[in-house]
Amino acid sequence: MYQVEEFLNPGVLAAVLIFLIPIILFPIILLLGKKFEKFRRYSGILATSGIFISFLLSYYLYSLNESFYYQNGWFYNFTWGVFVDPLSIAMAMMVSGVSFLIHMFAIGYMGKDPNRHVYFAETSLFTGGMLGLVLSSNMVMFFLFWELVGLCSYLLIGFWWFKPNAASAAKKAFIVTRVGDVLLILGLAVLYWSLLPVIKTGDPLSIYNILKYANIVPKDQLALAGALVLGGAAGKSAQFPLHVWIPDAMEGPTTVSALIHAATMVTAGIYLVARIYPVYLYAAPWAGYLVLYVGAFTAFLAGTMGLVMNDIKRILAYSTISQLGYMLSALGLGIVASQYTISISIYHLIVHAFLKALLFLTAGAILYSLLDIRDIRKMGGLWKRMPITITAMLIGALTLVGFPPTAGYFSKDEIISLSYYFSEQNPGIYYAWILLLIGAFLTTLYTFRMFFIVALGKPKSYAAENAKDPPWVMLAPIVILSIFSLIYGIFQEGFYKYIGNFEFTLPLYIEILPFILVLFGIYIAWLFYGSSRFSAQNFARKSGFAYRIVKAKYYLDYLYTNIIADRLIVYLSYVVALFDRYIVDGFVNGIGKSFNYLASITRRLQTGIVQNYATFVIIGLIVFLILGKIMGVI
Amino acid sequence: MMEIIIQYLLPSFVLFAFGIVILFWSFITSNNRIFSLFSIASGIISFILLLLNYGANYKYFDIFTFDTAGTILSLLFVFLMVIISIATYRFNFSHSEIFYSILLFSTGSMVLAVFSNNLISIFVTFEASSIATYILAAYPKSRKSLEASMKFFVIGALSSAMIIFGISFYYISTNSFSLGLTSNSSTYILSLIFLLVGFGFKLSLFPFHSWAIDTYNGARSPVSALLSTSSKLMAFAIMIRIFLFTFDISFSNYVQIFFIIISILTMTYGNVTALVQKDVKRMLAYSSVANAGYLSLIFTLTGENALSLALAAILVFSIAYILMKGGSFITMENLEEKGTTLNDIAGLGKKRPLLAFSFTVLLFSLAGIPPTLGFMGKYFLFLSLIEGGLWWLAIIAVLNSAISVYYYFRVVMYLYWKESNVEVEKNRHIDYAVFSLAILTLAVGIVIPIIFNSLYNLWGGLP
Repeated sequence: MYQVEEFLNPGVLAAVLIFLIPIILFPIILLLGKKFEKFRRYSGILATSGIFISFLLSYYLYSLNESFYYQNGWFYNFTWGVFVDPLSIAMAMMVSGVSFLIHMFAIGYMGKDPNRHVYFAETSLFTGGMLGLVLSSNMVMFFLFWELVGLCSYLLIGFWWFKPNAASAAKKAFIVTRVGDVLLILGLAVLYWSLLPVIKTGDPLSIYNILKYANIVPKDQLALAGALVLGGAAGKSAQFPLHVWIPDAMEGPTTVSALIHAATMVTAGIYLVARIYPVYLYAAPWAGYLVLYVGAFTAFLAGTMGLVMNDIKRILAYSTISQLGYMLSALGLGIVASQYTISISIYHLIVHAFLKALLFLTAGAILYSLLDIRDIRKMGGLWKRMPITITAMLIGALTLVGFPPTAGYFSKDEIISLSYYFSEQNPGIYYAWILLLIGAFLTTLYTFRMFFIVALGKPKSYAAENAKDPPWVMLAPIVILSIFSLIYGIFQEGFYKYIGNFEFTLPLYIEILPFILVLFGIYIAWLFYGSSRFSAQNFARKSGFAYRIVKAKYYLDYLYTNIIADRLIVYLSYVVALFDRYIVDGFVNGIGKSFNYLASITRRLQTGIVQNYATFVIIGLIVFLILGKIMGVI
Repeated sequence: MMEIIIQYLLPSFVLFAFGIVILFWSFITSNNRIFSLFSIASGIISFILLLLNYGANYKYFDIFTFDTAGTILSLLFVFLMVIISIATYRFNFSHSEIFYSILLFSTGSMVLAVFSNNLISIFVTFEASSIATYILAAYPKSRKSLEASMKFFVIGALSSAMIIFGISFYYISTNSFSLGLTSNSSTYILSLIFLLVGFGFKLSLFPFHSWAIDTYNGARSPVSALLSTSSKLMAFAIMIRIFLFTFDISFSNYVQIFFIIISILTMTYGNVTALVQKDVKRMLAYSSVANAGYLSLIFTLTGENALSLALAAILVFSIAYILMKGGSFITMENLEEKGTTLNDIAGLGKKRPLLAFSFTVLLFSLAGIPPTLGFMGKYFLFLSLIEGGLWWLAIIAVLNSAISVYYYFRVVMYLYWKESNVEVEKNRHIDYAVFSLAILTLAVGIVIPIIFNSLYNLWGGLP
């Protein structure tokens, strides 16, 4: 890690261009599309090629094989710049690569939308914001891009704003992540004030300084900062209890869901925790446990909710929440055990990006040919009608559950094994291992429930009978992602070495335990949904109470919307509004009125009679003479 | 010696010469446009001559100090004169040769006045420009302008008496007319107070300001532009030479207290009373009084750092002030026939988009909105107050500035969001004149932070 002084350095320029190109494309595509009706069909190609350039530049940074940072004065003592190390390069390559494939898919998927230039402009900005976030050298700059990503997600989830669901989902996503953002900015403030006395000169929020000086900051301050920052990460990465926005966010175009879940947005929270990892590492231990158990509990909780959903996209949404829980717990495990486990977490993040992009794109392909039917109970028998798509979906599902030899086996099972490995030294981690294990089982259950209902059986709607594979421009990304999901496991060792290695070995029966659970889960799913040996409805009826709770998403949405928002916030706002109307406005109006009153007095001095004016001059003179006399100078 | 002094006197002598030429030319023709062109030509020549002298620092005995700050102010006076001549190109009154020749005489005197460094030369040049402006205020002959001129003259005569008193006391205590001398006698302080009252009249400081409202309002708008900017800055430059560079440091404490009282009263009076004005021109007159308050803040400062910053800042403020105040009054000229109340300017944004836009820029600058020059001027001026330890005075000044935003923005609101059916005649020359001022306000506002460092130490005659 070294500092680059001059801006005109190939590495720095490449890093800046990576996020600048998609951001610059935003106004260009928007204006051209608005001005020329005919341009709109090319907007997708323009956006896709812009992001492809970003990908090539990211690869160039990777090929440089160097870690460096560049920073320049911005305002106050803050700096702006780029921070390039294996972590950010890996993220940048993943974001631009996956985003490129999703954009390519969207050329076909959004091809008939009248406002596709707006769509592509916004997704381009979205990707640019995420890339900027990944490469920022300063937490303030990071926060700006973080907010840009949040704004774009709002715009894109509400892209079909004429649907009331989409509009309210966009609002919900914005407000819930905003709660996280408030926590994040508080966390950054705490970080700023705790680092300021330590570094003395320079920018306390520069990532380089955070990484370098975190070990000499008081532990409690770091823990507080870390916990608050974790709140921000939980908002963006949909961790309990701020996960409620993700399922509703499915109202946007499917490609937007793919972008949010795979490449951009939700990975930002994980990246944030990984980026300032030393802050947690040197903090008081409770911050580490908080990270670990927020992650592990979310992995478990989201798994249960995934079981009872019928909307294909919502099932995938809950699986995302659950997998993000795994990534966060991988980080938490390392923090609690004082080890660098970023590589394990980020490896799962990247594998998840591939498989989730794959699953969402196959879901998009299904929706595309089924005319936007999202209820899995109206699908069925699609394997015969859309062979390529559904085969790809199977690959995605196997990768998601971690079936060997797919990439998921190498990433997810590694996290579960890791939790067992650490729990041997630290019993406090033991519960995390159990939660993660059950989570893996649940993942298998709901994934194959979805797969069996969609792929097998008889078509249950007219649209499903006439389904067929989408055109090549949409299939190509699906195929590429399938291949990656299948073979990415071979890069595991290399990836761990690249980011930073942590090695451990375990007895075979522990290593194999998740796989056995996966097989068991697939078998149960087959019993219930593949064959018709057991009826899931009967089972749900018998376990009525538990089913109702899970189906109602543990009443969390009810709590947030009906109790906190409607009962608490609305009344609070009412009081604040009264305060604003009578006290603040009264104060402001009072000032205005008093000045007007003052003016009505002072204007009387202007009599229009010149004798009076002369008198004023003389009075002024006399007053000054008297003042001089009083002060004793005359 | 003679050759050198001629080089420095030439810019104003050119103006005098052209003034006389215009008077004689009126035997040949009475075409206003010819006179206007003469005036513009003389202004350009004088401007170039002044530019050639830029950067010089030459003392002619103790009579004149030709320093760069004075040159900058003179350039501004001449520039405004040219702009006024362009704006009045289509003036349609009898005997307009009087207007132009006296405009040239007064500007020429002002150029000499800012260089004067001796109480006698100050008095002579000051009076020369004052008497010229009394006549200008009465032109073109109407009941309104005669009244304006009369009030101006009566109070002006009174103030001249004060100045003469001040000069006499100065001579009694120091036995000399040249600036920069000190004495411990109370006569010396007495002379200070009389000079303050006398020149404070011209600068329209608080108790001596009353004539200004009626005169700016009653005089023709181009004349008001001259009176409220050039004439005021001339008095201001004289006051800087007298009060900042002359008086002994032991007295500066009293000077400071006088000026703190005066500046607070002037700012607040001007801004507060401007709030309730329905007439835009009258509002501009009050805001001109308020700006005199800002200008006089410089006299409250002590300490070398604060003063050198303030002396640089005041140049920025002067440039801003001439551009925005001159431009605003020239805008009023376009509306003079129909009336200048808020209702009369309503909807100007649709009827005269260019003029309304330029006027808006100038109002933004007056209100001190970045990135206009008005903001820069106020910024550096208030910064020097903080530098000098008078942060509470800076707060009062900023609050005053905040009040002023209200009445400036109200005008902008009327320009764009209100309708009226008053017909406004089209006058291209006024459009161009005001537009060039507005563009300069923006352009110089952007450039100033870069070149601000070069504005330090431009005032000659520092003791």
